[in-house]
Amino acid sequence: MILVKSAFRMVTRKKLETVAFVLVALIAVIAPASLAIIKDNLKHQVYELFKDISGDVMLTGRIPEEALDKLRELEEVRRADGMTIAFGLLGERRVQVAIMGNNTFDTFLKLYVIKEGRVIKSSNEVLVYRAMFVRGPQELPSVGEDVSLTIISPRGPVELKLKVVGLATGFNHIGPTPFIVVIDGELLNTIMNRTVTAVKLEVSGDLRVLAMKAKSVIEGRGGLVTWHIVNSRDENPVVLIVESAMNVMTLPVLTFIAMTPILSASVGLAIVVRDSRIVAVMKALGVGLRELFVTYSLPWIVRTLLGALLGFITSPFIARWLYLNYFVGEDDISRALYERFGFNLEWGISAYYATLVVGLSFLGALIPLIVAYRVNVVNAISMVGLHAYRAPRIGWSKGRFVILRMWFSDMVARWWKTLGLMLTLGLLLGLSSSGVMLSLGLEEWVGVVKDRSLTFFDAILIVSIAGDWSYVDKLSELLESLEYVKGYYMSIPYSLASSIEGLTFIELRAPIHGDPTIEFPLIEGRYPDGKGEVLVSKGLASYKNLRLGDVLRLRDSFGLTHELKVVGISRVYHDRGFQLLVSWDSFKEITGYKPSLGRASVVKVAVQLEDQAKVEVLLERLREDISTKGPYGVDTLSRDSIAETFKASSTTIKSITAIMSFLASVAATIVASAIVISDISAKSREVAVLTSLGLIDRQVIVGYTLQFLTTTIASIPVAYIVSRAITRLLAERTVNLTGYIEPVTSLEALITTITITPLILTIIASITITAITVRRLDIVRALSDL
Amino acid sequence: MVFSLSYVQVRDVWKDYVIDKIKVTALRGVNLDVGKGEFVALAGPSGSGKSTLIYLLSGLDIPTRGSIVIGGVEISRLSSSSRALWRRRNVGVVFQFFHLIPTLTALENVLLPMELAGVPPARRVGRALELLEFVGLRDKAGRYPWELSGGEQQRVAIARALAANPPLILADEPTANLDYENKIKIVELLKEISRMGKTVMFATHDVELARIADRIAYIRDGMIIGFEGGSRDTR
Repeated sequence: MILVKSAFRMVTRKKLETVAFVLVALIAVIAPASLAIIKDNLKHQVYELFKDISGDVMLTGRIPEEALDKLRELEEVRRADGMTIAFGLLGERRVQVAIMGNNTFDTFLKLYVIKEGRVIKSSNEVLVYRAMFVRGPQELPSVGEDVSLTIISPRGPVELKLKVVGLATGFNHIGPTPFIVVIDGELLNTIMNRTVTAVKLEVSGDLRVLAMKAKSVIEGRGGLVTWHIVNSRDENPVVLIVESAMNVMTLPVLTFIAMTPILSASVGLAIVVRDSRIVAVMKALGVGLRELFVTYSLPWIVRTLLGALLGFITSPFIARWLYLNYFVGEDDISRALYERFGFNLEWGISAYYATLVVGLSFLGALIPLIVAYRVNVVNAISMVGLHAYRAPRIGWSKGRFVILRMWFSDMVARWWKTLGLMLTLGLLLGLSSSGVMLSLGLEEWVGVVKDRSLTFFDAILIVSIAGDWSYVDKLSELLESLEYVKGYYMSIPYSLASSIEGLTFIELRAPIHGDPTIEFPLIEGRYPDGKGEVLVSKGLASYKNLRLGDVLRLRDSFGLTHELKVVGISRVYHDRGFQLLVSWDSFKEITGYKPSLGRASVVKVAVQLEDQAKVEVLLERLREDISTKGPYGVDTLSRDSIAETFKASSTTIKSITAIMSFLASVAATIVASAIVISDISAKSREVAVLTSLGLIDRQVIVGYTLQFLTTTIASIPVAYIVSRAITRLLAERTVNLTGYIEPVTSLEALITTITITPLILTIIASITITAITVRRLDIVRALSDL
Repeated sequence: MVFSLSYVQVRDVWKDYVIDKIKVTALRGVNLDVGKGEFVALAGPSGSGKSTLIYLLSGLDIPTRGSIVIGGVEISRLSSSSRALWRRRNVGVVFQFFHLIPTLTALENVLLPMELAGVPPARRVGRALELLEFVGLRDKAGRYPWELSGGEQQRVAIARALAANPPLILADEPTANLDYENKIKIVELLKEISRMGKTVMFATHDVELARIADRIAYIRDGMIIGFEGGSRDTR
């Protein structure tokens, strides 16, 4: 009991050590816990938002009323809502849009914000909604502007002239377009001949099995299913994207947690070695392992517990504050989300990280305990002078550089200090380097996108066709007739959600016309020409470790598995590289593709232009040439804009890394300073003796600086190992955000502004604190203290 | 022996410490003159102020009041770093617990003050070995402190104190941790050093041992209460 009291007294008396431990534990809990809480809330919100639109299962096509009634009768179906969603082209630029009646829009999009204007009140008005964070054209019509809207109806295209009365935004989007155009519900129903084009099911049981059952019901009653999706919480494709994006932050901050055991082990060891004579006396008096634990481990655990407890209490509130102020992007959307879903404080997550930090600190504190337990009583008690430990034999001093040798020998002899600093600085440098390595990978990718000897397309056109298949062939003829188009490759895309484990949407492509090398330049193998063959991107091949001849398994939304043999690997440098080129036979088998009804056919065309110096001008001309020759809506994605997207991702990763590194440098400064302060305190008498020999404070500080710099150099291998490990993990866990990027794991990635700045800040701050400690050292007291 | 000039002049020196907010006066108006080459023992019981006086004389600490002049330099007025620089060439200190630097060998411990004092590198090793020869430890030059006995460590500490050839050697209870045989050896060494023309002052609570010195200054409760002259032959 006396020892327990003494341990707690140590916590209150040694304020500096207590403050350092509490702060490190606090940061180690707050940083990962608050981000994990935000991630969990966002994942929940995204899932719920997605569910607003799609329910548990959504099928699109033509849903007869009779099928709808039958679906409602199914035991597993709790609710079945039919809705009319049409597709069409908006404005002069013929941007592809989803079209909803105002009643459906309010029912299905439960979260949106009107940014300008108002909702529609009459049949000649339109509200234009654009989903946030979805790629596609950014320009919106102005409120008050008259726009033309082509609706693709069962009886052919219908053209309307409408006045824009409001602009809205939110997260949800329908199909491939970020735009939803809201018109009068009755008007839409009339145009669509009251055809239900989508059904949203809320069900229980296996979602994929139920989707298959629903498809049979619809098709069995003369209906048609053109697309379907199941929305399971674990496999929701948008949740996977959010998870990927958040991993950029949550993975590197785990290094903060790793600093806690380093601190308790290193500082604890310094004190045990300093107190080795006291430990010996205690052991001579019959003290056992439990009492040594109470004296030399418990204080660290109590301190960490204090910090972790504070972290546990504050993390959820910090998470909520960060979420409200920084995570959603727009204030009104942030408020709307908060009002709709609230913010779950997730005490469980906070408790998990607090327990992890205390647990690791406990493990760290066991190291000084082991050393204390192994102290040789006879040797320690009979020891006189300063040598509480044995110095290494280094035989290179011959009358010169004795002081220098002394500092280096000290680093080896007091290995716990060196190791503690090395690991701390290594973790800091490793954390910042990991983000740099990942962003360098992205920049290398940008370089390849820009290199015309490696990639041949100038732009990808997404062409919406409001007509039958003959317009696809006409488009092909048109492209061949244009003299400024050097070459093209046309294919049909189909999105499959969560069909490969861990990945969000995969885009299946079937060839239509043109030269595939323009979009899919081969690295090895050949293009698929038979059923069951696939060409994958290099990124996907690396991520899934696929080689030629391997089998790729795809699971469709009904739970059916399709096996595809890899016959080719290509360099695909856009849209995360999740495109799988398959033959038409495979395409039809996997997707159940039928020419769509009430929805524009979309084809993707990779084009190569004759004059690459005038890409933007020629693209505008091409867009105009296509959209005036038929019912085509064209969205263009130039090679430069693709490169810019990856460049922007690289910049974002660098910015996040810089912020994380700055935070880590605060934690590292506290850890490094605590290690050095405990070292100075443990060898204060040695410093005092050196002072008695004429060493001035400045020389002592220079000595510590030298040790810091040497340790920094020694920490580079640690940093390299840490950064490689984090980067590989990051590359895998951010695959849904950027595609699988091979990180550039070169040593040069360790030496950049982002990596060096936090390291220098940490070293400067730690040396300053060291200098203050050395100057405050009471030499006489250190010499007199027996 | 008559000393015409005071090498060490201590005038009305007071030293207060504050320990746990309580003021403790360690020295109360100490006056002391020590001539060049004199061998003086500061004798007194534990807590009498001997060590405090040694620390003040070595410039490791400064008096609360009064002045200390050594070799014409008023060290009590110097800054901390100036005192450290002064110490390099003017004082060698020997501690009760030897305090050899654990990461350096015996030879390197002796080399260290020479490097600090700026002794030309070519002369350092030769002189260090001479000093180790002088204290009878040349054959143990390559040993680390933990490989030496207490008496041997203290002899290395004396060699270290002499390394920069300082005119003043201060020793704080240099024999307190040693057996009788080693005590005599150490004091003999100090006496020999004083015969070399160096001023030697050592603190001890052992009055018998103090009598080996040329002069004894008795110190009690922070004051010098008397002097005793004469020397006892140890042989």
